[in-house]
Formats: sequence, structure tokens, C-alpha cells
Amino acid sequence: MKVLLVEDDPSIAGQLAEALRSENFVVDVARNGEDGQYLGETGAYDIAVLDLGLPKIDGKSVLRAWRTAGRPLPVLILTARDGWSEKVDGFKAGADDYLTKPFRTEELVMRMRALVRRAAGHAQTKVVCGPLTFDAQIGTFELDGLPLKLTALEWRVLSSLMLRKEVVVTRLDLLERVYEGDVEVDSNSLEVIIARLRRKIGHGHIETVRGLGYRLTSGGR
Amino acid sequence: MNPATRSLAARLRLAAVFATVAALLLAGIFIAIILQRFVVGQIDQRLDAQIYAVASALQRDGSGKPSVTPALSGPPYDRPRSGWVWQVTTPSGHVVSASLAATGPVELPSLRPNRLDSLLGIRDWFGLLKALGRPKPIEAPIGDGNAVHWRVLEAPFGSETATVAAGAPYQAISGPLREALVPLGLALLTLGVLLFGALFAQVRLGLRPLANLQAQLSDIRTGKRETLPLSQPSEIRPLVDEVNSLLAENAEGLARARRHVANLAHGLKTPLAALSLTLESRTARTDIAGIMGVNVEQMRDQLDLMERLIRHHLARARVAALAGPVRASTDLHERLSDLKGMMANVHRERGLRFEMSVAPQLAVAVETQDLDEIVGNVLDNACKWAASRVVIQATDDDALVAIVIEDDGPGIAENEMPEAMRPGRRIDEATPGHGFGLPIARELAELYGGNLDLSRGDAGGLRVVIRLPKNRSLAA
Repeated sequence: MKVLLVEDDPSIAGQLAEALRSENFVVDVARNGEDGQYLGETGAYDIAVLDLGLPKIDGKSVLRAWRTAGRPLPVLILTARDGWSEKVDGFKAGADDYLTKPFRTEELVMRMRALVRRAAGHAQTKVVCGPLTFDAQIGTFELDGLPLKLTALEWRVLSSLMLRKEVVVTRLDLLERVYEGDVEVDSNSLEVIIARLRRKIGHGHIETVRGLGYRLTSGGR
Repeated sequence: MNPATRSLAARLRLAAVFATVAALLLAGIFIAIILQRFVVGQIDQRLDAQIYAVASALQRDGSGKPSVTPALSGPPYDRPRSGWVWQVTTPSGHVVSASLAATGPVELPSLRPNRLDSLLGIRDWFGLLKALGRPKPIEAPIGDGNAVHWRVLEAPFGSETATVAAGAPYQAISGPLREALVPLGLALLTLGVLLFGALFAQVRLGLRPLANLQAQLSDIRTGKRETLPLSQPSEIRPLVDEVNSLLAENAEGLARARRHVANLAHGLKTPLAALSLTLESRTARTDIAGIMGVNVEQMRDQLDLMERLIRHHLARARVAALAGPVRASTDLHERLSDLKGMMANVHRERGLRFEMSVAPQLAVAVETQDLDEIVGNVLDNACKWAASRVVIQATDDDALVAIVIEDDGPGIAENEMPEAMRPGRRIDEATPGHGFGLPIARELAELYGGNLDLSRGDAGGLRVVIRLPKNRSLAA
């Protein structure tokens, strides 16, 4: 899951990014409204966490710009002030949820996962695909009812495929959602991760669609 | 009370009445004097004509005594007691008109030069004046008791000086004068009444912009308008400009105070959030726990408490900055719909049913931001606890608007309700929330002259009734 974090305070942005990464999120950080607006309009993100009080362009305008540009990504707004008016304005601009500072990381993560899951069209917290079960709320995988241990990269790839099960996810899309914007990516690394995943969950679940990407199916092992 | 401060209208009316009465009195006196002079002038002409006629007919008879031939005692000089008389007196004898025949000549005071007469000037009707000199007025009664207005001329008569005098009764003057003065007085009186009416109307009309101004100011107080309109009479315009700039200054001060407080909140909360995040990071947690031997959870609770206290006191400070006449107006239906939409969005997953019934055209005299804060906190709480349904109602309650927010959750026991209103207390620590929502909402409502009450709802959940002052001007 890739998140765009738009937050101007460096200490909060840094710590929050670190906390989210430890929860397997891929995090891009924008430190002002201008960068945030650009990244949100051009990048592939599963969710954006947007502070409303931003330098250059305020959060509300950034959000409105994203919506005007037709970006459907779920947006969670952070409000430092208690203003309900600010929250209402945020929702009118197209926000999906809010959190008031200060907040606990676990609450933020829970809300973010719920938003991503809903945006992917899953009403239930558990997404099932054949023997695989993904608890989108707490972020754990089970294979045949037993916990599945995954590395961060494996988790990112599998959760992306899981949320779009039975749909082809392009290589580019996967790469974008697995690696952060400024990381040099080895073109083979995705294949390596897929291979490791196939070993863990059994061959036949992750189909390679030649020239396009990958698809997770509930088909036989 | 000092009449100067009592009433502008009274001052204007008083001044108008004085001025009008003085002007009418002066006019009356002046016209009366002119009229009198005119009437006297008419009489004088007749008398002077008689005097000249008598003077020119004066001669000595055979015995050397003066006589007037022809007699010149035609009407009205023929009737005794008529008051119309003439006489000629010389040292050597006298001649009188028929009307004086019974009483003889009247002893007239000697002529004094009459300065007023020469000042006002008597027209020289016959050109005889120059030759004979001018007759002079003298007031003297005649023997029969009639007050008579005399004209007297001293003319040379041979070697002697003859005093030729003609007189008219006073009634000949006062009669026509009265006849003219009575209708004149009536006319002036009518004029005065009309003038008073016009003046009173003028005062009312002239002061109307002030009444309009008052209505406009009251509109500002109730929030129907922001500034006074500039299309005002030039005398009031400076005042309006001053009031407008005062209003602008007030609004700016209010906005500045709010910005300060909001910035303070922002400034304090960001480091708090950072501190809280630091505490949560795993390394820090082991470090602090290992090195200092403290309970991280306890520290986190302390941090929470700090945040709540800041929130509580900032809300108070912000609302206190509102002190002064509240002139806000917020459309209830629109704001409640927005808040409901937002909460429905946040709790989409739980499929909460919102039942909203808000009487149309309701407006409260509360700033939008504060209404959001009051209703937002209560609604947030209701959504948190509701099992499936949240009811939002707003009804007209005389001078107040009653907003009822009710959920079908577990509710709060009657004896725990006071506890729920104590800032910083949370009945159940399990549901995430700040625990300050209801106390802040109540404080805000009370600062606006409203109130907030908790009770048990029909469905067993919590029913919160918020009463806020109504903005009457919009609730037409």
C-alpha cells in the first residue's frame, strides 16, 4: 500500500513516515502543498494523508485540485485545530476521513487500511481469495487458516494483488506501490519477490500475464 | 433630563415654534402699524382737504371778524356730536362748523413740531402745502366728549395768524382699522397653524434617516447585514463611516484573536503530536522503559491529558474572545446537513441511519464555527455510541432553537450524567475520543446564552438537547 503523506512539520512527517513504513506502507512525503498537489495528481497512491495547514497551498485547496483532476484516491485529513468547520470544509472538498492531532499511530493506520480497503471495493474487513485470507484491518495474511509470515516487500506486493484479486495489476503499478519514489529499482527485483511469494503460497495463485503484469486468482495450486 | 439631550425632534419643534410665533407677531404688529397709518392717512387727506377749503374761503366780514363763505358745513360737518368738526380761530374771532355750533370752538394745545410726521412724510396732495405749510395732527377731545383726531394748520390771515383745524372722530379711524385687523389676525392665525403643521412634518421627515439608521444598526446586531449602507444623507454619512470602520475594526480584532488562539493551538499541538509519536516508536519505548524504568503507557496517558487540557482551555479562550454583542446568524439546516453528511461519510461502514428533521428557515445567533463545534462534538459522540440510528431534530422553541441529537446506543445512567459533563472525564475509556466534547459543547452553548441537557432517549440511548438563541430576523 502506497501512501502520500503531505505534512509540513519535519519531525511529525519523519516519525509518521517511519511508523507507517514499519506497518508495511510505502510512504512518499511532501513537505508543502505545491509538492503534495503535484505528487497526488501524477503518482499512483492507494491513499493520501493530508495535513490541512500547509505552506504554499493549503490542504483544502490541494484536495480540491486532486478531485478536480479526477483523482479518486481516498484522503484522510489531519487537522491540528479542533475546528469542526475545518473538518466540514475538508469533507466538502472531498475528504474521506479525518483525524485530529495529536493522534495515535495505530488509530491512523487502522483508518488508513479501512479507507484503502473500501476504495478497492471490499465491504468486509477480510478479503478472501482461495486459501488466502487477508485481514485488511490489521494487515495480516492467513493461508489455510494459519498465519503467513511475509517480508515487507512481499507484503506490499501480495496486499496490492489481494485488494485487486482476479484483476490484472500491471508491473509498473506494482513497482510504484512497492517502492518509494526515489529508490533505484532493479528491474528483476519484482520477479524475485513474485517467485518468493509463489513458493510461500503455492504456485498457480499468482498468474503472469505476459506483457502486462500479474493477477491473483483463487484457482488451484 | 436636560432638554438638550431629551430629543432632537423636541429641540427642533421648540425652536420652530419660537421662531414662527415671533415672526407672526412681528408681521402682525408691522401690518397693523401700516394699516393704521393708511387709515389715518385717508382721514388726514379728507381733513386736510377741508382745512385747505376752509382756509381759502376765509375772509373778513363787514365787522372785520373772520368768516367762511360759503359756509362749507356740508355733511359730515353739519351734524352735532358726529365728531366731524372744523374751526378757525384768530385773535379777532372764530368760525366753527355746524357740528360745533352748539359748543363753540375747542381749545387746542399749541402746535409742536412733529418730528415723526416729518420723518414719515405726508404726501402733498394739493401742492398747497408748500404755500400754506403743512397741517399737523393733534389729539384732543371736543366738548361733547368725542375723542377727535385733529389736523391743525396755522395760516396768515391779514396781519394775524389764523389757526385752521379740522377733526374726525376716533371711530372713523378705529372702525376701519378693526375691520381690517380682525381678518388679518385670522389669516395670520391660519398661517401659523399651517406653518406649525409643515414644521412638524418637516422635523419628522428630516429625522427619518435617523430612524432608518437605527433599524439598520439593529440589523447588524442580529447579523442581517455586515455594515451600514453608505447611501445616507450627507449629515449622517460621517457617522455611518465611523460606525462602519468601528465594525470593521471589531471584526478584525475578533479574527485576529481567533487566529492567535488557533495558531497557539497549532503551535502547541504539533510538538505534542511529535512527542507522542516519539514515545510510540519502538526504540524510544525500550530506551525509556529500560533506562528510566518508567511506564510508557502512563507517560502516554499524561500526554493525552496534556492534549485534552490544552484543547479545553483553548476552546474556552476562543469563546471568551467572543465577548460582546453577538451578531452572528447561521442557517441551521445547511450546517446540520453538512455535519450530518460528514459524519455519515466517516461512519459509512457502520451503516448508521440518520434521521434528520429540521424546521426550514431556522437560524441561530451563533457563529458558524461555534455551531459546528457544539453540534460536531455532540454528533460525534452520538455516532460513536449509536447502534444503528442517530436522530437530529431542530425545532423552534420561542426565543431559542432546540436541537435534539439522540442515538440508540447504550446511553448513560442518570447518575453518571453529571460526570459526563465534567471536562476530562470519559465514562468509557474504550472508545477513542477526547472526552471533552460534551463539556466543550455545553460551555459554548452557555456562552451564547443557551444550554445543553442530557437525558435518556426513547430508544434507551443518550438524548442531548442543545438550546441556542434564535436569530429572529431570518426566521420570518
